[in-house]
Amino acid sequence: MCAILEAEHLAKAYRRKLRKENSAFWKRQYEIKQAVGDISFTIEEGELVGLVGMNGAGKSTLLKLLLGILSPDSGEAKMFGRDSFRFRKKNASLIGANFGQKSSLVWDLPFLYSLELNQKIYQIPNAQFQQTLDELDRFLQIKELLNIPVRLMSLGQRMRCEFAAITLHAPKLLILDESTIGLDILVKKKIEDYLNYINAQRNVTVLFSTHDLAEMERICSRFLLVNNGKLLLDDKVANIPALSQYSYLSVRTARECPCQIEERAGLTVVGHTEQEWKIRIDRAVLSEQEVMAELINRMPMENISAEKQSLEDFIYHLVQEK
Amino acid sequence: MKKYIALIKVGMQKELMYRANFCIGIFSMALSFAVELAIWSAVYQDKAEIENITYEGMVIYAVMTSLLQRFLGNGTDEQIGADFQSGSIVASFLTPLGLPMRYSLQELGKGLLNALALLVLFIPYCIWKRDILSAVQPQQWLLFLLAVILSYLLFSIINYMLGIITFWTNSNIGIYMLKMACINIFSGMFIPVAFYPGLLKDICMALPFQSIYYFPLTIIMGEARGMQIAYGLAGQLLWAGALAAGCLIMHQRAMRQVVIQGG
Repeated sequence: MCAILEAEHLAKAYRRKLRKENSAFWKRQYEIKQAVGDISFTIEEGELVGLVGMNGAGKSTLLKLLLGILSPDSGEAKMFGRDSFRFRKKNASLIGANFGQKSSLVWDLPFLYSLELNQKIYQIPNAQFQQTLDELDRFLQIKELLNIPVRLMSLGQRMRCEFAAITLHAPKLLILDESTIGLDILVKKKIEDYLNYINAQRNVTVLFSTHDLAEMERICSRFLLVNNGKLLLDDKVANIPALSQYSYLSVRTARECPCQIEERAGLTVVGHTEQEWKIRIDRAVLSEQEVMAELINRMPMENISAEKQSLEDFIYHLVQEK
Repeated sequence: MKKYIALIKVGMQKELMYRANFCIGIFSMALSFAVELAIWSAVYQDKAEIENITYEGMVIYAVMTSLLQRFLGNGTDEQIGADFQSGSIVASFLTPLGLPMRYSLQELGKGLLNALALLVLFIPYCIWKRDILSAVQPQQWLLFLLAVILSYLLFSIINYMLGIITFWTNSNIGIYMLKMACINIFSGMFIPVAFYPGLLKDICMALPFQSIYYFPLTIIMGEARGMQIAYGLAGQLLWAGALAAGCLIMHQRAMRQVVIQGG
């Protein structure tokens, strides 16, 4: 199986103008912002990979480097075994990409015109075009949107159309940069179902960056965590419980108990109302079973339950430390 | 080939989407044409010829310059600059077409539509002045068409270069205004270059703008003949060649250091 996407020691820095108080109109001061610094990974055909990280972590820059829109300062980005930057136009008919806030549709005209233009640009035969349209209508209900000018659509309608437009030519690789921002749960579900469908049917590889971690857990088998331009974690979603440093206990004490739970090494109280306690346990120091047993012995309680660390919490703590 | 025609069609459809805007544009051009004619009629009141150009030549000049203006349009540089600033230029990087084609062909569609619409409006006037227009020889029309094609090529190259300058300067509004000012003064679009005083005429001939606008008009007006036409066409080709080479280098450099604004 050929690696669809390869990043080898990718690095990219931006030069930004600085506005300092006493800088003159003529003299310019610049700062260098290292957006991506030495990132390497490989994605095989058919994988559904999520790209997560804080705002400004370098996700968008990384995606643009992989697509060949930006040229790397050092390192290599490859798609289908070819250098992304040099072969951008050649690779274009095999990929579909969407950058969340930016539209690739013809703004002034009804959506059908954008689809027909794409049909001609990607040289899609009529039969395949109709078939894909039917498929898209099944998942995204786009036929009801064909005659609406793109500028008059709501965000949800427009994103469904963007997805339709970028998958029209049956690309082998889809790259999505925060495409689900601001979408309601119904539209998100439709898009997720469609991504799952094309991945199952046609082995389409999907790499998408998102802040909705629940969505990522739903569709992705693998995730890449980027922070400050570095790849912090490249692992399977299923491995996250094993990787988590923390787990949580929710304790509900009996009414008549004036108990207190003291903090100590490895045990932090993160929430406390009259009878409810939420405790965070550092698994490197203590085990949940020990703490549970101890608490049950020490105080009368109505309920105690253990929760795995959520993905959000996991990432939150991980990026705090770096 | 089909994809190029599809882009040209989209350019036309975008123009037609805003009907009031489109119609007002055509009528305003017709109005300025009427004003131009009135001015030249007054200037030629008691003269048969000025600088070798007859009144009949000026009538042809007025008609053809309006059509040429509409056909060439204002250029793609403004749109490229605006798209770069907003970051929506990223969409052009993701298709198999490439930046120059995507913008230039849509602009061609717009230009063709505008010129055709104005032509339809001019038909009554052309019928009224048919003896002047029928004096133009078929070979003049053919050479004119050839010159217009080269003009369009040259203009597109210049506009593309000025558009991608934004990749370095982040804004090209000032450059766009400078270009429009140069066109207004140096192109011979409003006043034939033949009427310009000595030094200004020399400056005009050294710049490509008259090669884009004025030279095709001189063919159809009958002012340029034989070797002059040959020199003019050669001039257009030379400008196109030199600027295309510069444009290619600029384009490659621009791609190396593009930044998609807006995160």
